[in-house]
This record gives sequence, structure tokens and C-alpha cells, in this order.
Amino acid sequence: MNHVSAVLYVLTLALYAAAAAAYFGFLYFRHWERGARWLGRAALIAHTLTLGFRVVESGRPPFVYLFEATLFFTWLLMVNFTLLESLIGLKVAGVFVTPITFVILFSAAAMPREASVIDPTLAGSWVAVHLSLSILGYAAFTMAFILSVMYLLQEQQLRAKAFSVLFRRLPALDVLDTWSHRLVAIGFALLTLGIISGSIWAGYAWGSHWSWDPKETWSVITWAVYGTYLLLRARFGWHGRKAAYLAMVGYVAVLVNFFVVNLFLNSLHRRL
Amino acid sequence: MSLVCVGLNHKTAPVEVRERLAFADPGQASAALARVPGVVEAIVVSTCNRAELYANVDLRGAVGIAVDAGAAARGLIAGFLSAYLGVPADLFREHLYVHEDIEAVSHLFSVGAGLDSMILGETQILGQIKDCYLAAKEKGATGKVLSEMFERALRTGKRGHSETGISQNAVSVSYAAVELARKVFHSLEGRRTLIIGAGKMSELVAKDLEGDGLHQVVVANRTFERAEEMAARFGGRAARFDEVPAHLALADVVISSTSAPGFVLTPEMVRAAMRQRRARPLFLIDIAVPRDIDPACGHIENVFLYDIDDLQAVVEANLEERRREAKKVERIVDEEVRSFDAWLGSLDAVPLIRLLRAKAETIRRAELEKALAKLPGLDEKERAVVEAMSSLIINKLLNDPTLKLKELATSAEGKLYLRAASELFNLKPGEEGERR
Repeated sequence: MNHVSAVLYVLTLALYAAAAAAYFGFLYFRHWERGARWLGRAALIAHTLTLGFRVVESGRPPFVYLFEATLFFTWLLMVNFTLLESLIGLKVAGVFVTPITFVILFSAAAMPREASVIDPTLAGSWVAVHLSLSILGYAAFTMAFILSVMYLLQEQQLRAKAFSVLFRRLPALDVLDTWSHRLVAIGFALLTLGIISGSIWAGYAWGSHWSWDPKETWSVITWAVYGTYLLLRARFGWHGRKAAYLAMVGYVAVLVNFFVVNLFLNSLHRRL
Repeated sequence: MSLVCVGLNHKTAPVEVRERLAFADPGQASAALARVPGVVEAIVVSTCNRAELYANVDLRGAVGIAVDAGAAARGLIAGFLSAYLGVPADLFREHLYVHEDIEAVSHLFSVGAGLDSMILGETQILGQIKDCYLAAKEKGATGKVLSEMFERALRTGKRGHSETGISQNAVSVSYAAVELARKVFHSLEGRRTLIIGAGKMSELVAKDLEGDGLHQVVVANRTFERAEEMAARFGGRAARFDEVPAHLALADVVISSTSAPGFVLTPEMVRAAMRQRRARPLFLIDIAVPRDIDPACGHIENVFLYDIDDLQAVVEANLEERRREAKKVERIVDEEVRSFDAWLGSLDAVPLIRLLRAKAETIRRAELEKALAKLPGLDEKERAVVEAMSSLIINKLLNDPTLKLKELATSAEGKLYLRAASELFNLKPGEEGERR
């Protein structure tokens, strides 16, 4: 990592920290909202530049190493949030999204970012499709997870009849429920395509379409949980709290898949 | 010139007095007050909870020296009130309050921000002040000072509402219900309402919900005729009491206020309805005492139940929140009052500087003539040099005090500096050149 992208990376982190603080302040002071929004946007711009520099510098798409994949993943998450913020006025999600982005991005500093030799199997267009689809899917699941947490917090307050500052800022239950459903559906479609394209590429690169590698196993588990979620919603009228819990369970699988498998388990995907 | 506010409000005067001091046309009244000798500008603010007369008065010519200015202004305006409205002054005199100068400004800003309202933080007052101000302006009753003061009062009020939560949360039971409903349903537009028991209370709540876009009302009542009457008022339809379970499955919001001694809605009924609705949320409001809805219904998934105590608790909590937010609004008011005071100070600096310059110019001319008289042999060019020198000395000497006076007049001790300047140079502002 050269000087410019190192500076940009630190700047991005600082801006996210500031944005997270401002969003937290927004819970108490309504007029902090503007400042928080602009800090968030500024952080996203710095983030975009960091990612751009990284790509130009390394000459490869931003998902071959976990550091870059994390940069890319958090970037997508923020783009996702920014869209939702302007689309449905979901400002308060910033209270969750910005600190999460900060923490993940900060922990990325400790992740593998360079390698002496690039694995030749990781070059090629199928792998680019496979990886970008998967990471996009993870970003959608993350946003769905955040909305589900917001749903449960709001529902809990409505039920306990104890209202905190968060209650006033959180949107209505039906908004949170609808959008976490939509995001899960989008994430599920992306994950499905990601698995299919991965399998096609594995057939070329490793000679077998499916080898029950830990990454593959966890992807199937993730796919199954979210598939169940969609099925229960469509067929059995699962809404609200139960659906929110299930979306959270699905996200645990995503986290294991993205971090635990990549960092600790022996996997063909390990270098990712 | 001094600012004065004379008025009464719901805290100082009973409604019998307030209703006698209501102005049908505040703009007309402002114009009439502005015509009273000694009054430079005037704005009458009249609402159902208060009547306040703001005036910029100049009583130097109207009354003798050494009279308490506040008492004089109070007498003047009380006299006007009595004459204009045809109400004996004895009726209201003891209810009047008087605020002078910066106190009057501070009072207006607080009133505009809803700090002085019966319901803390309400926003209507700001619109009423605006209307009264514009009406007075249209009649030509306002001048530079009161216009600026009212513009700033409107700004202060807006800041209070947007920068703090003083006007944010519901402070009536029915709005508390609306507020809660809107945390379950983003929009009440097109939601179906079931009203059980065609009483006064349920009608009140339904009205407030209707204001938020709720329609498709079904009214169920033991006496069918009463249900029909109320349904007609909401453009909805009436239902018999035994149809309640069927309508429960269709409704999104249920308002119940029957005088039944026992529960009208049981968990079994609600559960059966929820099965038909496929877990669409159901919002139940129970405003009856004794309660109509079994509290156990509130434990069913996707059912949200609030009784009258819950709503009252929300109102209490919201009022408490408003009182906390009021502290922040007070800080905004203080800030704006200080800023207005500084603006007033800068107004005073201008005539003083003019006086100072005029005095210097008079001295210069006198001394120049004397000097030239002693030097008869100078030619045109030499005379011009002497004259230019005298001008330059004055301008260079007065440059700093001019700038400094303008600057210091807007500071906290602005009045002191202005007085010092007028004392040091023996200037008498107000005798000439002061017209606003």
C-alpha cells in the first residue's frame, strides 16, 4: 500500500468516526442530522478514493485479498445506506451503519493485503463476477440485518411502553419490515447467482464444480437460511418479529462465511 | 425611544377579562395605536389566550421629565385600550403586565417560541404573531425597530421548533394515540378503523386520527342508531355489536370506549382475527374505564394495545420532554435577544457619529475662517492647501472613533460606550438628526 492510499484510508476512518459520533448526537439533537449526513457523505467519498487508488495501484479488482474485499464490502454497505437514506429518509440507520462500517474497516487493517504471487486461478472474468455478486449480496444482507435490529428495538419499545430517544427517531415498524424483506430478497438473488457463477468457475479452475469446501458449505447454509426466510414470509405469513429474528440468524451465517472461514478455516477460498 | 409591551394573558387574566380585550382586527388596532401621540410604531398581538400591545414610544414631548417611563407607557396604552375597545380601564388594569426595552423583546421572543403558551411549545402562536405583524405592517403601523423585532421573533420561534424538540411530541391523549399508531404504520392513509362504542371520547380520538388520513371507518355500538349517527359523521358505516369479530379481522386500528362493565375484546377474539389477517399488525386503543380490551391481547404477536393510562403516561413523558427542551429554547431566545440588543445599539451609533462629525465640521469651518482672516496674503492654491489640511486632520482624527463606535455599539456594553462618547464630546443625541 503506497503513501496516498494509506493516508486516504486513515482519512476515511477518521471521517467515519466523526460521522458515527454525529449520528449518535442526532439522537439527542435534531439539527445534528445535516452535519451527520454530510460527514457520512464525505467519508464515503474518501472511501471511494481509497478503493479507487487501491484498484489502480494493484491493477486487479478489489476482491482478491480480504483487505480489499472488506474495503469493497463496506463501501457497498455505505452506498446501500446512502441510497436508502435518500429513498425512504432512513436517517437513523446511520446510527448503526456508520459505526459498523468504522469497526469493520478498522479491523481490515489487520487483514492480509499483499501476497508475493497472485494465484493464477483468481484471475479471469468468472471469478470477478462470482466475487462481486457475493460481496454485493453480503452488503444487502448487512443492511437487512441492521433494519431487523432496528425493527426489534422499535417493537420492544412499543410493547414495553418505555420510550427512549431512539424511539422518536426510528421509523414505523412496517417500513422496517418491508425494507428488510426487500433487502433479503435482493441479497438472496445475488447470493444465488454468486454461488452459480462460483461453481462454473470452480469447474474451470479446480476441475470440479462442487467440493464441499468450508466456504461452499457455509454459503449453502446461508442460502438455506435466507431461502427459508423468504419461503416463510411468502407462504406462512411470517412478518415482523419472527422474520426479524430469522434475518439475524441468516446474518450470523454471513459473518461466519465472510470472516471466520476466510481467516481461520482451511479452505480453497482461504486466500480470499 | 423606548420599547414597551403591555398586555395580559391566560396566566394573568380570567377569560371574562380576556374576551373583552379581544381585537377583531389587530391591524386596524395597531394603526390606531400608532396614531396616539408619543407612539412611533405599534403592533397589536391578539389571540384567544392573550392580548399584547407592542409599541415603540417616544414620551419626551408627551409627558413631563422625571416621570417613570414604564408607568407612563402603561397609562398611555391602558388609556388607548379603554378608549379603543370601549372597556372601562378598571376592568383590566390589575391584570396588565408591562415589559420595557429589552424585557419586551425577550417577552415577545419567548411568546413566539411557545414558552409562554398554555400548552408548552405549541406552534400556532407563531403563526398568529406573524399574522398580527403583517396586518400591522400593511396598515403602516410598523417602523424600522418593531419590524426588525418581529422578524427576529419569527426567526427565533422557527429556530426553537427546528433545533429543539419542544414542539415534537404529542401532548394530548388522542395525539399520543396517533403518534404511537404512526410508529406501527408509517402512513395512516387508507387504514381501516373500527370504533367500538359511539361515545364522545372515541369520537374525539377518531377525529384526530382522521386528520392524519385515516378513513374507512366502521362504528359498532350496542344501540345501532347511535352507531349510524356517528358513522354518518365520519362517512363510514355502522355495524351491529355482534359483527365486531368479523370487522376485527379487517381493521388496522381499533378504538374502543364502551361503557360495558367487562371486556368487549378477548384474546380469543383477537387471536382468531389475527389468523385471518396473516399477521398484519393490529393497533388497539382502549380508552374506556373500566377497560374494554383484555390486557392479555397486548401479548399477542403483532398486536399493540394501549389503554388510557398508557396514553396518559406518554403525554406526561412528552410534557416532561418539552420542559427539558424548553431550556434549550430559552438559550436560543437569550442568544437572539442579545443579538437584537446589539442591533439596537448599532442604530444608536449612527446619529451619534453624525453629531460628532457635524460638531467637528462646525469647529473646523469657524477656525478655518479665523485663520484665513489672519493670512490675507495667500493665493488660491495656498488657501486650498490650508483648507485641505484642516479637513484631513479632522477626518484622520475621527476615523478611529467612528469605526470603533460602530463596532462597540453592538457589544454588550454598547450603551455605555455611546454614553461615554456623547459625554466626552458633549453631544446631545435626540435633539437633532434622530428620526426613525
